[in-house]
Amino acid sequence: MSKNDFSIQEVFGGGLTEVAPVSELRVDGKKDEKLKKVLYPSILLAVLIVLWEVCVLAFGMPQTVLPSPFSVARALAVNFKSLILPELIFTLEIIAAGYTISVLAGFLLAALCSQSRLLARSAAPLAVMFMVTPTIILIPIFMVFLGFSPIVRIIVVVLQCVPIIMLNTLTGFMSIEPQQREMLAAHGCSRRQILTKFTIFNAMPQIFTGLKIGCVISTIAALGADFAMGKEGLGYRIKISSSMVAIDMVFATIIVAALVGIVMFEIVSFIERRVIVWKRGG
Amino acid sequence: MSKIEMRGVSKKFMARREELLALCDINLRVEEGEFVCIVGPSGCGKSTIIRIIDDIIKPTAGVVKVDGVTYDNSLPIPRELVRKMGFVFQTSNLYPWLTVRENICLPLKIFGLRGREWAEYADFLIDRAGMAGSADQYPRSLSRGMSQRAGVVRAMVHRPEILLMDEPFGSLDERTRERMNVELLDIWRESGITVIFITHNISEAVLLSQRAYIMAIDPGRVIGDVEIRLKRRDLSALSDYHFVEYCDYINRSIGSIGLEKAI
Repeated sequence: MSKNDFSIQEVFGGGLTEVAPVSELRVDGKKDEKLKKVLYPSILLAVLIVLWEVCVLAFGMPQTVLPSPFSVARALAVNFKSLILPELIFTLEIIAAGYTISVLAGFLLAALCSQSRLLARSAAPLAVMFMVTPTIILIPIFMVFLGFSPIVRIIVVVLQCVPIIMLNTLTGFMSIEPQQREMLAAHGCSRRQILTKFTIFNAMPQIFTGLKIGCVISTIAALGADFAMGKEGLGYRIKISSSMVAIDMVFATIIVAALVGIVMFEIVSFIERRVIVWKRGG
Repeated sequence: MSKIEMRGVSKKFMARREELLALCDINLRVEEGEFVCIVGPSGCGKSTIIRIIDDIIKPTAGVVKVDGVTYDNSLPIPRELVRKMGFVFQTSNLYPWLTVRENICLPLKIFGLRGREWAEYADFLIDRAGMAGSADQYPRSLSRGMSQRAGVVRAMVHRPEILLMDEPFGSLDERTRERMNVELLDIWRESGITVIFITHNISEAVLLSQRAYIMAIDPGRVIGDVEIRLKRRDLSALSDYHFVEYCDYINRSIGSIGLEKAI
């Protein structure tokens, strides 16, 4: 038996004396898969952290260049409530407002563009232009009109996020197979029936792709705006800690910022799994 | 009065800025309750004919008359007429986000046919098709044969008077196709529905139809029709002498046209 060969007993625990029903095996298999999904990255992360600690100790890295994971964890624990939490709440508010507006605006614009080929052709290149332009560079212009208002940060998030959501949703709305179009025509469906019974459901996978990318983009845009505008937010905390050479604090804030993006992404993924149930089969 | 009539119907498509004559001067009649096959080589415009009948595409010229209603290339046909027709596609065309039952009942929703009577009729058809066990599953769990069966049931759920079938069993294996053909004949006999069945399979056309229209390619046109009188229409007919003769006749009709073009 080669190294890569494995038996069903090994996969399901090795102690199977009777063959379990296929349905039970499938359920066990799914649980096993879910466990692996969490376990494997956790093990890799733990290994990387240990390697990081070993490198810091072995090479005698100064804390001002590369702090050890332990000191980062300590910085996080000590400063979370007093320094990080207020900034986290501020950035979360910006992301929540910007993301909500982006979802509504992106969906509305895509719906409008899907009704008019001319509008779609005109708006799509503009959306691409905004998508590839880092909107942080527009902050000085917005600040001329709005000063240090949080609205500037929300605008930055919206401008960066709307094109992604809009273009993905529009792609979903437009991607109707010719046979499916004929199926609707064969039943003499009205425009409203086509939209409510077909287009929205057909576009669901692309809509959720846009929403998930939007989570990441809105987090990046909000942090970038914090960086550029200063005064408040997680980005500002990273900037100020860096200037004070508190690198452990920089790392601690980066971890929190990363967690914001991951949690948002996972929430949307969870909703996606609940909505697009037909992809799970059965 | 014929149930379906086409007079001088032509259809041109634009392909790479060039006009392509897909159908040329099509004349055909289908009587009420008749089972008609349209047989011909791929690309001869068979599918275009039933799409014109169902008003999915408009003819370039000519007149179509269905159930006494005449229509041409101007206005959409009345909704009541759309309801009288059911369409079965080459692929099942089931929507993945709906369960099999929801897919089958979709025409009822679209046509606003509510009430217990319709729901019970849908259940009857689902049972009749042997799909009761899989009715609440999503289409991705169905085999190709079962999906196609669901497509046929969906086309019949609103009790249409005309069933238009576009090579519905073309993608199935031989044995499944034969079984589906026999089941289709049973449904047709029970319901008395008018059927137009598109196929390029000559033996399938002979087995199923009372009359077959033979088509040729470049441009798509009807080159003849043959009335098929078989003593029995089941799988045992496949070895019948008359069955073989009909197949041979249609084969020679299509083949002779091909030969003329080659010369």
